[in-house]
Amino acid sequence: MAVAFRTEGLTRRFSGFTAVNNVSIEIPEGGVRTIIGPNGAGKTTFFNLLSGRIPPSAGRIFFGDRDVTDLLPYQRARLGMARSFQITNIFGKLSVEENVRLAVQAVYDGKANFFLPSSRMGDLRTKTEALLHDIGLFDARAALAENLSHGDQRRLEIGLVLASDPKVLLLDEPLAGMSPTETHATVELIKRVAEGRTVLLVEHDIDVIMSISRTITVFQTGAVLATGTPQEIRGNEAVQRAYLGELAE
Amino acid sequence: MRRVFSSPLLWTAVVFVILPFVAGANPLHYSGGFIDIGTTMLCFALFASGFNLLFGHVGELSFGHAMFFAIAAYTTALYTKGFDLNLFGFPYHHDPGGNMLLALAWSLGLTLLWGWLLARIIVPRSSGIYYSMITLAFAQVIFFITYKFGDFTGGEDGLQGIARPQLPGLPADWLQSSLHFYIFAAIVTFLTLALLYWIIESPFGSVLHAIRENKERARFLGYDVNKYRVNAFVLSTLFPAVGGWLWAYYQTSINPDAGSVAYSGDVVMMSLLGGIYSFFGPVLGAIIYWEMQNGVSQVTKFWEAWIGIVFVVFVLVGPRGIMGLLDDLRRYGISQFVRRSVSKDARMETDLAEELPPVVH
Repeated sequence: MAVAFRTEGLTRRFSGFTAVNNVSIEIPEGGVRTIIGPNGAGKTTFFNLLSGRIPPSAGRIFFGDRDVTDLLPYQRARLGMARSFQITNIFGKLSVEENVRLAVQAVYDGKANFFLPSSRMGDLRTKTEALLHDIGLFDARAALAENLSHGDQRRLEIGLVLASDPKVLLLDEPLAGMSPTETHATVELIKRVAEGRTVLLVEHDIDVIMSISRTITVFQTGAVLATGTPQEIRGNEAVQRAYLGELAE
Repeated sequence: MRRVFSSPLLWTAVVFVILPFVAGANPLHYSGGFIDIGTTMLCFALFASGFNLLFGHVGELSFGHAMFFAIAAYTTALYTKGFDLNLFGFPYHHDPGGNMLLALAWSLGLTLLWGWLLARIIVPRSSGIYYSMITLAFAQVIFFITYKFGDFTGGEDGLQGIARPQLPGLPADWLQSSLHFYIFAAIVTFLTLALLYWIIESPFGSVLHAIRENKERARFLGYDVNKYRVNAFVLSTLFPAVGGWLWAYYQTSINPDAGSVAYSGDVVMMSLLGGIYSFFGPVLGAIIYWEMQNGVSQVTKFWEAWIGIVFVVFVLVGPRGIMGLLDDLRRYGISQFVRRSVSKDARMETDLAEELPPVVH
C-alpha cells in the first residue's frame, strides 16, 4: 500500500525537554489514523513537525516519496497537506464566505493572474458555494467568522482545510469544546471527507476514536507506544496501563 | 467592469469636482492671498492611499513612505531642470527636459526599483515595530541624501524653478494657472486611484486582507505570504511616486521636507482619520487634514496641537476613522449609532448581530 507519510528518527527538543523522541512511523494512504496519548505525549508537536509549523531537531519527514523536511508550510500545503489547529485558526474579521473563498482561491496561487477579477478563476464561485453547503454554513455565509458559535467556527476551519481538496488532512482535536449535536455532525463530516483521503486525527473522545479510526497510534512521552486497529489497541495491556486505564478510573 | 465603476470611485470623482469650491482648496483664492491647497490634497491623497495599501490592507506600518514621495519629486525636478553629476570621477551631464511622461517614467522606475530592493531586504526579516523602524531608517538615508548632497540636490534650499510641463494641444502656459493645474492633477489622481481600487478589489487584494487578519492561516492554506508582502510593498510605492511627480510640478520647487519624517507621519494620521479599512478613507483623510491645517492655522499658531487633539479623539472614539463612523451610521441608523457611541453594552449587543465585514468603502 502506498505511504502517505513517513518519518525517520523524527526528534524535537525544546530547551532540554524532548517533546518528540526519535519517531519513525509509516502512515499508509486512506482512512482515519488517530493519534492518542496522555497530555504532553507529543501529539501536537508531532503535528507541528509534519505540517512545518516548527522545524525538527533531527530526523526526516517524507510526504509520499518526497522529502519535505526543509519545505515551508505553504509549500507543504501546495503538495496536498492541510491542517486545522487545536485553537481555532480562521480569519475572524472576514465573513464566512470570504474565509472559504480565500481557501479555495489558494489553489490558484501561482497559476492564475490574481489582478484579474475572481470571475476569471474558473469555478471559484461554485466551489465556494458547494463547500459552504458541505460544512453546513451556507446560511451563515455573510456573518463575520468571529461571530459564529464555537462549533461552527471549528466546522469552518475544517472547511478551510478541505478547500484545496488535499490528499492528507491533519486535524488537531477538531471536536474540542463541541456540544453533543455539533460533535455528531462533525464526526459525520470527517467520515465523509475521509473517503479517498488520509486523515490524521488527534482526539480525546474515546467513543469517537473507536468508531472513526481505521488504525490508532498511541504516543507516550514523545515516542510511539503502540499502533494497531481499535480492537488491538483496546486489548493492548501497555496501552491500558499508560492511557486507557487512567481514563477508566 | 461594472464593479470598477461602483460607488467608491464615483464618490472620489464627485469629491474631486466639489473640492475647488471648498474654502482652502479653492485655486481661485490664489490671487486673494491664500495659497490654495486643492492640489496639495490630491498629491497627499495619492501618497496616503499608497501608504495605506500596506497599513490598512496588509496591516503593516511603514514609517518611511515619504522617501518614495521624495525620490519621485527630486527625480522630476532634476530631470526637468537638468543637472551635472560627478560620480566617483565619472562626469554626467543631463540637459533640461520638458517631457512630463519621461519624467514620470524615470520617477516611477527609480521609486519602484528602490521599493523593490527595500522590500526584498525588509519584508522577509521583519514585522511589527521592527518593520516600522527599518523603513524609517531607510527613509532617513534618502532624507540625508537630499539634505546633505548639496551640489546635486540643492541641500537645505532644495531645487527651485521647476518648469511646469506643456500638455499636448493646449497653450504652453496653460498649466501655469492654479485652477488648470488642479484639473490636470485631479484627472491624474483619479486614474491612479482607480488602479489602486482595482488592486484592492482583486483576488490579490483579498489575499492581503487574509494576511492582515491571520498570517499563519494564510500560510497553511498555501499562500506564499512573503511574496504577497513584497509585492504589496512595491505596489504601495507607486502611488506616492505619482503624488511626488505631481507635487514637484505643482510647487515648482522641492526641498528635503518632501522626504521628512514629518510627512511619513502625516500620512499615518490622514489614513487613521479617514479610515484605514476603506479605499476612500486616506483620500478623505488627506483632504480633511489639509483643510484643518489651512483653517486652524489662520486662527491660531498652535494649529498642530488642535489637529493632534482631533487625531487623538478619533483614535479613541472611531478607530475605523470617518469612513468607519459613516458605515456604522448607515448600518445602525442614527439612534442606534448614538447609543453605541455612549454605551459599551449597546456596542457589544449590535456587534454580535453584525452581519457585514468591517471593510468599507
